[in-house]
Amino acid sequence: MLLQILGSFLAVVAFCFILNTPRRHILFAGLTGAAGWALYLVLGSRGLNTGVATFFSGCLVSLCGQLLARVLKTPVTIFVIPGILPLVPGAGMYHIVDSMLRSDSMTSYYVTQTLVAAGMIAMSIIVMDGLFRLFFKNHIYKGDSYVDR
Amino acid sequence: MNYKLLLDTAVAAGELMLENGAETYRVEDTMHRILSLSRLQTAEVFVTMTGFVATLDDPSIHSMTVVRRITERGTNLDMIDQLNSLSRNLCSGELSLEAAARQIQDLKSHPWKPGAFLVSTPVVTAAFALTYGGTLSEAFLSAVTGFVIAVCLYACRRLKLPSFFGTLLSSAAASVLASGFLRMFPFFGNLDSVIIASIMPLVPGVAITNAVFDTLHGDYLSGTARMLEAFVTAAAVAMGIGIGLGISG
Repeated sequence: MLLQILGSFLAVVAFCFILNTPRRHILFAGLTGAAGWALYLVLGSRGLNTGVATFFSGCLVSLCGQLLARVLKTPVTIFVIPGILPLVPGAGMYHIVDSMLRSDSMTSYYVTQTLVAAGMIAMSIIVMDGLFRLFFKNHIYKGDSYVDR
Repeated sequence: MNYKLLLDTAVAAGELMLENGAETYRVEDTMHRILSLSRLQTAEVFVTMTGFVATLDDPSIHSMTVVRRITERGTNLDMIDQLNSLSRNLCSGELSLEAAARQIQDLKSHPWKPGAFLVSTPVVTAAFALTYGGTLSEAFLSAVTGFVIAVCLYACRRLKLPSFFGTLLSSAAASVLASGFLRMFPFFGNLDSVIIASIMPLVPGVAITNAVFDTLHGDYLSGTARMLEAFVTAAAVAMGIGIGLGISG
């Protein structure tokens, strides 16, 4: 499991280079991603299903992203885009195609699982952003600002 | 104040942000802030994912309107970060308009360097093989397929093919390579984990995240457009795997 968490950290950091994330934020983005994946693994080993585990780890990634964005005064997406990547259901997409080619009866199950995981990522970002907007109104600019930066 | 320069600066900033994958509401907000520095009666911006309209008007001047169409989109978070702090400095008065315009021109002339992309894609795929519980030999094979993916994407970018084909071709190439190799050397690892790790640089994580943020900020037009982008990309990846596995039997 340690190897998996290390792997997710390395993967997120390397993905930051593809996205050309600012150098000074790469370490934080990597830690965000690794924290999210570690929570996912823990929840998974406790027997929670993929959707719920994705939701909670997505919340953690989004929480870290929102906090870091406010501390470092930078857009939230700089941390959330790379950090969320290990949770994106690439495995589900592969299993859909694989089961379609085999024409076994699992296709609809995998389709549902993949859509649920993608939806849960979206929900977790929405929930965290909503909470932050509730508690941290117009923190940097005075006036009618709604952009987190 | 030089209104023409102000409008040009806002337009250049908005163009760069949209081209480099900023969320639509952020572009709209940034441009609106810059245009509001003019203190004219009308300073309006309307941004969608594929282009924008910006206008400045007042009884004292001839109205000025600019329309821009954005055709190429990538993701460059550094550019977004820099433009973000630039516009903040400009709006707080720490930076003069002329200096800001010059800095934006400098940013515009920064070329995209393929080196980091070609090196980091194999690292991403190898690390994802480990992330999803693969073995070291699977990670090694994923690095090889990751390099193939990077080369395919780079070639498609140079040939100016639509990104759909780039994604499709590279996932097809990766799955042909992985399944061909594992057919010859079955002891090397599991096909599932290699392919899952290899497609991770292609999955629409950026599109999903930006779709959510745009929808959240009430920009439903861009939100749905990005959701569709996510679905199309996912379909391209899936079709690529299907074609690849089909070819290699």
